[in-house]
Amino acid sequence: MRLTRRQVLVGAATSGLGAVGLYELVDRLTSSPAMRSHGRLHAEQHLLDGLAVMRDNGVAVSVPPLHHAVITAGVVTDDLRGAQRKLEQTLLDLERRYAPTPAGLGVTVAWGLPYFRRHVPRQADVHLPVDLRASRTRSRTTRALTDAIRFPSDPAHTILEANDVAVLLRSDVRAHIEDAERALFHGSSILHATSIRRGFVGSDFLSGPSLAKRMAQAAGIDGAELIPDDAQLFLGFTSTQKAALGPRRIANFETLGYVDLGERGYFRNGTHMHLSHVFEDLASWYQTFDFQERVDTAFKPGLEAKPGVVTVSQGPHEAASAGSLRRGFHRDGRIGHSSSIQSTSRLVRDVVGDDGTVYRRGPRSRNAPTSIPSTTRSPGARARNGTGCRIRLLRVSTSWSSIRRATTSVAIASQWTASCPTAPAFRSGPAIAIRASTPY
Amino acid sequence: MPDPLDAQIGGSYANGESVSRDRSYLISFIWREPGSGEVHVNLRGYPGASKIPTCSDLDTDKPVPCFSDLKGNVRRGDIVARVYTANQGADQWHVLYAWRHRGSLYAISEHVTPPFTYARVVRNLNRMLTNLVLVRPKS
Repeated sequence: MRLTRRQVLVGAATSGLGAVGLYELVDRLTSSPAMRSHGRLHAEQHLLDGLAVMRDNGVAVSVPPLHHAVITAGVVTDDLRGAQRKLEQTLLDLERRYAPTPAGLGVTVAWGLPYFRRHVPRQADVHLPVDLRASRTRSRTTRALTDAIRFPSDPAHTILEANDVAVLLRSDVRAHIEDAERALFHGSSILHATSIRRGFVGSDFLSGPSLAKRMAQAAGIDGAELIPDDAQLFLGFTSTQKAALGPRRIANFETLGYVDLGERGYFRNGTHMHLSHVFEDLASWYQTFDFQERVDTAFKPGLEAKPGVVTVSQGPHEAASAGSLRRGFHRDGRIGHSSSIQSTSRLVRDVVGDDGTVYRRGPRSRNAPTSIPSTTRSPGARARNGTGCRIRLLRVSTSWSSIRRATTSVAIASQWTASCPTAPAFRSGPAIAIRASTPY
Repeated sequence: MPDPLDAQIGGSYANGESVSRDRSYLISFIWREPGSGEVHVNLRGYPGASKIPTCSDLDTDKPVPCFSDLKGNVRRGDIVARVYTANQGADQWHVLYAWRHRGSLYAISEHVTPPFTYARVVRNLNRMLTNLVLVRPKS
């Protein structure tokens, strides 16, 4: 009955800050971002060079960009060729202005099934990649990009969004993201934004309360005081252990041979992106789960971690198998978050990629975890109503392809967001991302 | 005690007192008003026992410490209390201070819930700890 009592008690009142005002606090709470090394544009749009690596608890941790925004939108023109040229030019301008590093700007554009169905159904039928394993399992052709479905655990008010496009913007400098938003959406005759999700991530594991904790406290989120001082994320654990991140190209459609790209391979180097929300209750997390229970839940039951650590080693040899998950569940009645994902996201054997690269057993097929603890929606943004915020997990995997370069790319990320509990839960469908222009 | 509690056993805000077979006791005070919030303070004593007691986990029924997630110490006068933030039973959702005195364990806790924030609850507990009065048993 842990939550029952909680449910009858109104959460702590939030401060009067709106989501945008809250987000602006990031600038005040962080020192000037250190200049990170120069980068180059890769075929994979999601890849950012210059990611710093820090060490905490003896574990190497990749440092993602401080700021993020995911903007969903609809395509509001029938002149796709003209739109393609304009959008490509806008993206090229951004690429010229900003290096593809955290100090510059990362832009990932993902296209959803609604776009393919409404605007280019015949081309989509020819070029959309096929999931070979799913096709075998179902004994019928199954696309790598499928509709979002309603899950049994979804609240009744969950809305499955149907956006044409989602744009992921990442940078250490918020002004760069705002500039890209303006360039892509303000006054656009091509794209009409339907939602904006903003966020941040960060801890230097050294100097006082982390950005995540200070932001949670500034927002008046219930339980914020109990976030460990050096926590990278609201739930108190690091999510970007370098040893747990896959090689850069591991999530590309073609890399592991799981996908048939068709004769022309239009989506070569591409992948998919999925946005989802999981609402978390920080007060419940910290006040009804002790440290070991949080470790059990975040990682796997019985995992030994020194009390108080925020960075737990998640190397290839520590990945849980499906068998160990089953045994653990029968023994403890619990399944940990990371271990349950590992059984599907990590390679169970060495795989030779399409380019001859050997992908070793263990590393997960994701490479750009991020954290987004504040959210706004625009237009029709729902105001915070003082009932307290919940945290939600935005798991993102992105992909794109480029007509200009005939390439596509991949990113999968976990993004924590905060939202008002009274607002309907929104879940965007999967999308394929593309650089430089509308596909086809 | 935090307003409006008055620490009067048997008074308007008394939420009952209980003594177990092992002589451990719980005294609880609560004020609750729908829409406004709740102020809830528990005082515990474990005469002759200094170990943290064991509770049953609500999910698994396995034995777990009743007080967990140590967040450091607080010193007030002669008392050095340990601060716990993940607690069981009547102290769930409470911040709890526990300390030992002459071979016995004592605890005081307050619920973190509106109208009080976590920081305010800590201040309340610090004040209560400062003003505790040792009552010697009469029999």
